[in-house]
Amino acid sequence: MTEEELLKGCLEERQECQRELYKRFAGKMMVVCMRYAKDKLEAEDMMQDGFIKVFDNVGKFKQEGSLEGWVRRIMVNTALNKIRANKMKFEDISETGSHLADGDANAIDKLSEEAILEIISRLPNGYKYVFNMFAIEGFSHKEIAEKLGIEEASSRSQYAKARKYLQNQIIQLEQIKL
Amino acid sequence: MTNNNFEKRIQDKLNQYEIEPSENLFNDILKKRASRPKSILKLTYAKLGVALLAVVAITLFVLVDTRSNSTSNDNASISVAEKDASNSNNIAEAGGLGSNAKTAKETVVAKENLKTVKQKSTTNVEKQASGKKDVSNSDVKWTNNAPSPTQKSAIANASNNIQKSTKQTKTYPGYQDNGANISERYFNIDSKDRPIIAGQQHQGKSHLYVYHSMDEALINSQDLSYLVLKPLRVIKPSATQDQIAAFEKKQLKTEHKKQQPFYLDLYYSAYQTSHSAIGNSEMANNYKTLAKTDPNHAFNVRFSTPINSHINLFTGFGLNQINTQFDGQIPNTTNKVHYETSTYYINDPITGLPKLVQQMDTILNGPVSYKFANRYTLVQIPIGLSYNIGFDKIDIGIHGSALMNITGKAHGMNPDFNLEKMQGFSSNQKQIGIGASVSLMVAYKLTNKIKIIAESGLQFYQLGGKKIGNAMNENILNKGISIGLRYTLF
Repeated sequence: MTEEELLKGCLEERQECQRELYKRFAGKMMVVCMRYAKDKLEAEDMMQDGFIKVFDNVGKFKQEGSLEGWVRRIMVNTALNKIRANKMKFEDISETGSHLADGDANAIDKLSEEAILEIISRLPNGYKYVFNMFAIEGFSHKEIAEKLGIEEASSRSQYAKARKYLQNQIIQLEQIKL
Repeated sequence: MTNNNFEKRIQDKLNQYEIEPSENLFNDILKKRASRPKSILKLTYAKLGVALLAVVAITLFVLVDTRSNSTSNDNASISVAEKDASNSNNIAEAGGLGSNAKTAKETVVAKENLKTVKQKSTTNVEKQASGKKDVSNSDVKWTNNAPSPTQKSAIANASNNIQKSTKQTKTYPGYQDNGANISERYFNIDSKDRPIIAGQQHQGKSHLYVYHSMDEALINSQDLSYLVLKPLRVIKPSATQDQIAAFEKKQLKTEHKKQQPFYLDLYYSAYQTSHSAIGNSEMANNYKTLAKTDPNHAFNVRFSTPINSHINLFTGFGLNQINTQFDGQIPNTTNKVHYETSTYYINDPITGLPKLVQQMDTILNGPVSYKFANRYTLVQIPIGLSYNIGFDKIDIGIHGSALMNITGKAHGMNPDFNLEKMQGFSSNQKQIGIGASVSLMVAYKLTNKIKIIAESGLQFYQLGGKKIGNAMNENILNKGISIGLRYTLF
């Protein structure tokens, strides 16, 4: 089934098309939601609301970008709406430890996707949201500040801290594995 | 590692990664979509209010327009029939009644036509005037009684004049009694001395005019069909002056009671809501710091009736949705240090993956941002008085009322400023509160029955949030404007 047929079917509320669209993106969108949620249950809750919005608004999709990108953006926005009520908590996280050097780039490649997701999920909420939004979704710090209700400078500084923390964690994990 | 490399590698890793959600999730999505209310039920109060007002306005205007057209058509029918009858009369007079059977027959037919059309017209208009009540001409018994000499003279004048007028223009010269324009005594009159009878323009003495006229043709053929003919059933042309005076007194008293109007107002209100927590505790002060002014709205129904010439008593209900917004920063007055112990697992016993819990020293300082909203759905019942001044087409009213607020649903967030956490609350428990409202209303007359109203005012009341899960009770001040329609029921 082509993407066009899929969209047309969803627009006509045909269940087989909705199921097909869900199957295509459910796995990846689950990862997106997991990055913002505290556990799998909350992630599934976010994904449920996200897919409802996708099916409700499928007629609004303009085929200017990829369908996956559009669905992903809806999931991210849904997740942000869910977490917006939570206070942004920016605890100080340790900045000690070594940073990843260029030569250690393979450290990331050596880690499984699951391990990386696990490391990110261990970040305090505020850092986690900022890191996900900037590093993975590609939001600017200004957009992050608006969406999370924090200062732009705060977004920048917390991102830098989160980044260093993650690099440190990756190195430690690598050392533990060795 | 350069900035781009780090982010790109993380992105690449995660974008290709997939986690299977629960098997039933898709079915849950379908179920949740199917169980949602239909789109019309998702309309906000604002949309619902505007839609209802539009429907009511259109309906009322259509009804008024239909009635107007119906009356015009009846009048046109009368004119044609009258012309027909008048021509036939002329023919009959020229040939002599009875000498020409064909002419006499035409006369009878024309008169029958006239009678039928007039009866239909009268019945229709009476129906409109008195609702669904059917008043037939057979109920009007005064025609069996002989008029007094004075009355006969008036009737003769009226009949002669009305016959002339039907041939020319509708100037209503029959409203003369011994040279005096009696219509002026009982009616508001227009520039051509014609009584303005339609609607509520008569002065409550229309039955006396009919009594003085005493001519069925005059009554039936003119706009007098607008009158409520009930008085004609009880007063007789042979009545003495004392009887007439007694009747007049009784009738005017009855009419006065009947003319007491009853108003129905349907209007939409848009508010700017200011709110604050009640009390002087640290939490209440924090609430006050965060409180923002925000827009809200309501859809209202109000019933009112005069208790004297200037004061109306009113009540009704309003469907009101109030959002109280909180947005801002609370400065921390103390720094807090949290210590956590470190626990390392070489391998997670469940996933088998290396797992690490990092030790973190947590220092909280600086301002903390909060942003949340509480939402209450209320039914408001006002009971109050209004002072009204009327001009030509404009009425001005000052309203003051006590408010009873019934909170139906409420949900929102409870912040814990010490722990810097928030917890949601939700309640369907009904909660009753009180308040007060004042407003200034201006009404502009569109038709006899409909006025457009604009109103500006203040509402103050308390929301007893603590009893329905909120951390604080809130004072609400609404500054709003309203627009809607006033319909005069009777």
